Amino acid sequence: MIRTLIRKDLIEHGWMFAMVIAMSLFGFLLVLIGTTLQEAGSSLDSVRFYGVTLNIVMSMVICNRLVVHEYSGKTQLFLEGLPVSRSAMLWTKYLLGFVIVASTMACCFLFALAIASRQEMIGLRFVLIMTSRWVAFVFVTYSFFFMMGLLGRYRIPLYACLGLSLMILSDATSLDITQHGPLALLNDKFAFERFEFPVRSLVECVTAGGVFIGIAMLMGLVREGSVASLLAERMSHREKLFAAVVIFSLLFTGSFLDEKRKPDPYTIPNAYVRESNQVSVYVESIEDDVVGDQLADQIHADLVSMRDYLAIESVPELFLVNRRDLDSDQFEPAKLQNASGILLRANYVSSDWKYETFRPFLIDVSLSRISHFNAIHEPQCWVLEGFSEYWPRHEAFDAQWNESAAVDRRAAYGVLLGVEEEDIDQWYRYRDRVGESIARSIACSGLVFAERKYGAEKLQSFLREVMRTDQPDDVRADLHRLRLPIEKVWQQTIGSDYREFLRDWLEEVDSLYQTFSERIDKIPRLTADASWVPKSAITYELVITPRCQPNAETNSITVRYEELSAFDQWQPDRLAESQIELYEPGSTITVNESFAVGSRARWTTSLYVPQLECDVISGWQREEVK
Amino acid sequence: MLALLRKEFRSRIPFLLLILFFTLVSYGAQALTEPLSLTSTEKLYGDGLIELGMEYAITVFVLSLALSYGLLVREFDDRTIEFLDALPVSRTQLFFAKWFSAFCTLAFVPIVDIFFVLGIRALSTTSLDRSYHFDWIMTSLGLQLVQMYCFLSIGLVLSFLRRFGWLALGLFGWSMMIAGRFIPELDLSNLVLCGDPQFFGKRWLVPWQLVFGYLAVGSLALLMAYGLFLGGGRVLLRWLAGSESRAKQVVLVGCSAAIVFVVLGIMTQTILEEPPESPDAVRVTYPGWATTSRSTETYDVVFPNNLANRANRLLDEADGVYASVAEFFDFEEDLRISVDMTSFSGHHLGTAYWNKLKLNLTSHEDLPSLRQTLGHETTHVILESLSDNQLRENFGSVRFFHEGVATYVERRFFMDEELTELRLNAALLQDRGDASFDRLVDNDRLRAEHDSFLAYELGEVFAAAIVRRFGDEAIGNLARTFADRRHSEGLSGVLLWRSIFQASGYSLNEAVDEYYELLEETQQIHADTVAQLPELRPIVELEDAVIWVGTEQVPPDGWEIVVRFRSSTNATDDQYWVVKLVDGYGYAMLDSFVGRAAWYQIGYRQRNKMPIYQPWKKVRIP
Repeated sequence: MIRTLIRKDLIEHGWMFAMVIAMSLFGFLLVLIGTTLQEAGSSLDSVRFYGVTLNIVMSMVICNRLVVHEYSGKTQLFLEGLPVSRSAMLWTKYLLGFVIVASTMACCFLFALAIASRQEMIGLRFVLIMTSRWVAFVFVTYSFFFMMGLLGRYRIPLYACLGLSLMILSDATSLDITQHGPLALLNDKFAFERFEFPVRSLVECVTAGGVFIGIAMLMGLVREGSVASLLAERMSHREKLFAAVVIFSLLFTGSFLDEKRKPDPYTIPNAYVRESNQVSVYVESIEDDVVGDQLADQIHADLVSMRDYLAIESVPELFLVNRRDLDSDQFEPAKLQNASGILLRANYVSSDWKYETFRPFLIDVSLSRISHFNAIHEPQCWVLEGFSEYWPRHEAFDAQWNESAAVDRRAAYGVLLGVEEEDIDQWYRYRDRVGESIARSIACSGLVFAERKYGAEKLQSFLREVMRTDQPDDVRADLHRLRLPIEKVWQQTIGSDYREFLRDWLEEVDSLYQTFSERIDKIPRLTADASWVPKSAITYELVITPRCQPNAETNSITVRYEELSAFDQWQPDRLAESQIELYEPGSTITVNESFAVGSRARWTTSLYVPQLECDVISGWQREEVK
Repeated sequence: MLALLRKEFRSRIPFLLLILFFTLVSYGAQALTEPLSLTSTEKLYGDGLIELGMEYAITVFVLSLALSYGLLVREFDDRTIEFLDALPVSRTQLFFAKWFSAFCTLAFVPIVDIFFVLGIRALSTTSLDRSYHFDWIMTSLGLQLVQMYCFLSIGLVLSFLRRFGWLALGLFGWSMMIAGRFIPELDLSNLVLCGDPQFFGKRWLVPWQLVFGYLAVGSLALLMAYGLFLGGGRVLLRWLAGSESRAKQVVLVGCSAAIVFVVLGIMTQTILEEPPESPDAVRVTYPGWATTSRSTETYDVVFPNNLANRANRLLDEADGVYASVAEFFDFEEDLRISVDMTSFSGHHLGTAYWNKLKLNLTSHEDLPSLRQTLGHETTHVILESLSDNQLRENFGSVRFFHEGVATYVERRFFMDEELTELRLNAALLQDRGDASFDRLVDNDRLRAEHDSFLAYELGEVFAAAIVRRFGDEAIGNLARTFADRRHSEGLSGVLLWRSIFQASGYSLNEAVDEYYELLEETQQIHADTVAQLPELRPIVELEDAVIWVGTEQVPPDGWEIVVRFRSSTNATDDQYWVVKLVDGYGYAMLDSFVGRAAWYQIGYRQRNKMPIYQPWKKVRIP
């Protein structure tokens, strides 16, 4: 009767089996040729490639024909009418498919063996090791697909779920699936391991294969095979949606875990390392150079004292590498992927290097990263920017205005350019109007004033709360900011009204200006107008008329410009092109670039002012070419 | 009709929930991995509504297919169409009720998106832009709805083809991919609405042509689906649902197998061609820098902002550098020189071509070195200008003169040391008999036999000899003589120079005599150092596939021994390779050499100075 069953399956699916076998063998030949052409090391490697690709496809197709086709068409009911047990029917199907898959694989193996034997020594033990590997592999994979075939309509969602779960497991844990089970049997050692049987993997595979057969038989035999019959029915619309939801949830879980996984810290070979007080600093060591050694001490000391002052829970590792093609006052923050820490670049071996110039940048970048960028939001952004100037200042000067402090002179100059309460709330716009250096100095003056008026301790607790570094790196930080805006933080930590403080502060900087006015009034103030001059019907030139009052000591002025997208957002100034021109009152500057109608650009003029030790600008203007 | 619509909308509820779930999960993932308030305007509107691109189009297409595949056909499959026909509603009403409910369900995707975008915008807005940009939102919604209308209609037609619909879709996709190679307008990425948005200022320009195309295709597909639903579809479905003939199955299996092979082939090719970078590999991205342009009286310069201080320091003195060089050549023409300082070539400090210079700002940080380089390169430009670019036309015979004069000017006007102090290399070459003038005037021979770098060292001595013999104006006069092509046409090497010297009123023989005299004086000045640097006697060993070159001689303090190789006589300077010596020996693989000869050179080098090599030597490879 079993012979009849086999004949029935061969009549029904024989043409398909023949096609699949022929295609698999053809595919194997292609793989073999490819392996030989690539000089992969051994022709036997093609068996491995065939096993993990075409052999899997073949098992799936054969199980689909033998099991899924039978049960979804409910034709097994006719077979059950025959004088043969249900288990015999299942075993017949299982063995028929297994023999086909295993025989094809055996043919491929023997063929590859014949070719390989002409190029390398093939011993009996080597052949036995390889045979045990591929037989166990075929056994476990075929048994798996046979079992899945009996799961009917759930098999495809289960394939997806299983694949995703393995990926998540592999990513989230140290489990390497290629070192276990069937993948370990057909790994890159397959064609080269001549002495050791992969006992553990063989046992794993044989056990798993046995379990798969057991489950398959259970489903096919329990309750007179009704489980398999029910599972083979078509999926309802709701089941499909449910499956989609489950698969998508797994995908989401995988990507979420991946995002939340903290990568290993970045590394610098040959670095001066300072690790203590939960602060780690790595400064690249350049040949025959001691600057890096001193710099590592300076940065470490700074970060430790800042950590204590702001009660920072954990400071990420800081890495500083040298780059000779940077001016000594230019620095670069890097964006790291798949590595943690803060990576910066500077030219600290330059003879012009000054740590004092680097310090505000270091503080700003570090605190932005440590606070997960929560401190960069308006209306509290001024606190972070002010702190990067305040921190170096408070070590050198007390809380009284001091004309020898460049940051105080800059703040006084900032008053000349105008500063209102709403500027503090609209910090980005204000910074665009007066320039980064002046804006930071104004912000610093706020912190100096607060220290003087309310005391250093209250200011410290305010700073700790605004630049909280224990905020989660997700939407909860937004909710916290909404729940506790700067006005409330100020009220809670300082104990006074924030708006009142802003008014007092601006009055104070006004008196600061009055104190320094004799010197500040001599510093030039820049303003500029622009016009778009047509060069053709669709091309325009930007012509800028700068005005400098009173006249500057230097006669060169810089025009900075940048083409903009449709989106108005903060842009780093380093991306703006510059053009240095001679300045004469009433003269115009034509920008060395033409702009098409419909494009957008931002521009400003700037001038270096030695008295302030920084550039002053006429204010960034965003315009559209119409 | 209302009851029908209610029934259809009720049927779409699971799908609506699915869409809501997908959207919630997507924004939930963002909210759980980053603060929403940090989302930039560009990311929020750009990625979320404007530049949705191909991925989004595919997602919407898949959703449209998922929705449309069961929408009409299931009524035939479940035989519920007969019941519906018995109701007091027409097939047309039925069709449009189904279509409308499905379209509204799909429209839920952008509408939910927009709500989330507005929420995030409220959190992330800054004073630079407080607008919610409702104009962009409405444009995006309109374009997405047009796209959905088209996709849904196509899905309805394909649903009548059952599994052959996928085949038709695959064939269509492949055809478009092939067509896109020849007609860019048909490239799928150019056919996506919200794919490559164009703006006029802040106004998003609607791609009307594409919109009308989508509407036309969508309407046509909708009409076809309507026709099939009215009657034609039943016949088609019955034929397709009939018993699977062997031929049909062979076609299906054959096509599937072909697809598997093609995919496998493409995968294998991709793996072989580009080893994929591990997704876990550490990647570091540094920000870019813009450039600054600045003009002085003579120079128009572009330099990177990250080196602005260095460049500006040099440019403050650039006109002075030019004046020194121009005065030496008695050059009074108005000349504007373009200088590109954005080049970071590791091989050159600077290069000159016509009136353009390239200066490598990263090579030196100190001002004197940068002035020297600018002076050197400016000399090249002025020499070319004096000769009406004829020096370049005779490059092989003139290179030593070009580089020699530039080095002479550089050393004389921009370096503090005495010229004779700087001629150690020339002294060493003279000591070994490697300073022949005949070889110097043949650049190819110089490079093939010894080192093209000698053009600088020996050329400088030759320039100094001319100045000493005939005066400062002589070099300018010689360059000017080149401008008259009659003196150089058809000549090369020594003959060329004899002609040029004669036409200039000078004697080449006297100049060459002066050159050797100067070399001998130099040799005497540096005699002590030269004595410490005896000619190296290299030891060469062949071992398997490796050639070892070294020496047992010990260099004096402050000097080291260097070895370099080249693959053949014709190899250019940048194809030479210097090797690191281990225990006095450096090696190269024999398969690096062309033919059966290995070429090597050995020499001395002082720290941070150019090496002085001995002539090239050849070893036969057995």
